[in-house]
Order: sequence, then C-alpha cells, then structure tokens
Amino acid sequence: MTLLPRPSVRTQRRLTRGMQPILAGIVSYGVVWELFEFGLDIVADTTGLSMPLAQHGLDDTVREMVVNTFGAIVVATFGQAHLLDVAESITERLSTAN
Amino acid sequence: MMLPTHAIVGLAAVVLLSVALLPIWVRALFGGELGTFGYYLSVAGLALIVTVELHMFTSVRLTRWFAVLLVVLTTLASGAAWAVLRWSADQRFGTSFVLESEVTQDTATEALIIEFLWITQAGLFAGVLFEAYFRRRGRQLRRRIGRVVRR
Repeated sequence: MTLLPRPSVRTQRRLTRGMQPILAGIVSYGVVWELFEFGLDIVADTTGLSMPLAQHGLDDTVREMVVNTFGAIVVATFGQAHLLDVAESITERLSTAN
Repeated sequence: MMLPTHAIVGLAAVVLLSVALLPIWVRALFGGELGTFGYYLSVAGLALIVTVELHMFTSVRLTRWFAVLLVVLTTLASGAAWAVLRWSADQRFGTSFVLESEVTQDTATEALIIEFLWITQAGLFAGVLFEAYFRRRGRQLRRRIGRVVRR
C-alpha cells in the first residue's frame, strides 16, 4: 500500500467497472476448455489414440476450474490496472482519426 | 437522482418475469436435464440484469452484440462457479452434490460435462431470445419517436 499512490475514487471506479466482463470471459473459457478436453477423451476412446490432454476425473476437472478462476481474478485486477491506459489511448487515436 | 426506474421495472416485467418463471414450468412439465436448461435460462436473466445495470449506471457503454455475448459468457461462468462451490462443499462437508458416494470420478465428470453442455445451450438460447427482444423493442421505440418528431 505504501509503494503505490492510492488511486482516486474516479480511478477506482474505472478499475472495477471492466472486471466483470474479463472475469466472465475467462471463467467461461474454463468451461469451454473442459468441454474441449472431454471431446478429446471421446476421440481418444473411439480411435484408440493416446491424447496429450485428458481429464483425470472430477477432482482434476474442478481443480482446473478453481485455478482458472484465481488466474482470472489476477488477470482482471492487473490487466485492468495496466492495460486501461493502452485501451484509452487507442480509443482516443481512433476517435481523433475520424 | 436520475434513476430510470421505469426502464428497469419495464424490462423486469416483460422479459425477466417470463424468463424467471420458465424453470418452474419446465421443471414441473419435463424435469431432469431440461430442468437444468430452464434453471440456467433464469440465470441468464440475472446476467442480463447485471449487464443492463453496467450499461445504465456506470460509464460503460455496451453495443448490443457485446451485451448478448456477455450474457452468454456470464451464464457459463456462473455454471462453473456453481460447480466449484458444490465440489468444495463435497470436499469440506462430505455432501454429495457433484460426487455421489457410489459413483466413480469419471462418471461424475461426465455428468458435470453434460450439465455444462445444457448450460451452454441455455446461455445461447437466452442470448438469441434477448437479441430478438431488443431488436423488436428498438424498432418500436424508433417508430414511436418518429411519430412524435414528425408532428
């Protein structure tokens, strides 16, 4: 807390507002990934090929989703803080170009 | 305060009430996996409320296609979060929400994956439904505004 200056209320609002879409995007991609792995398992079972990726039971699957969610929170927090300026400068450049 | 409460109430009354009532009907009539579908349709309704509130009460402005995409993603994400919560309860408190005692790990995974497939379908269905609703509503509003402006 002493390393960084405390962000203003406006900045805090800017920081939190974009987190919901990022979180939703990443966590839902975790589900899509599990579906993909399950599909690979089916392909492996029917063709007899050994796949580099496989689901090793329920605990494995859910732990993956837990870790993915933690990762999503980290990315949403830091990405929002560090990429916001990039996004705003791009928006500015696009709007002045017109 | 400039809360457009009539907008929220209107939205809640028309779309969300019918969508939120749907799982009860589906559950009563069909049950089983279609019940899951119905439940997540109403979760998609809640996701729509969150999305609309983001649009109305923060400085975020969403285009329609992004709002619909966000509803689909939020529905999927809440399915994942709910699965993780149930699994944690199974681990900590010895419940059997996702892993029943006499069922193997692989069978339980399969059940969960099938549930996820239903959730995905419910999210997509809700997305299409909301898109159609907003399209129609936008047309109605434009027509009404056009009538007033011409006068």
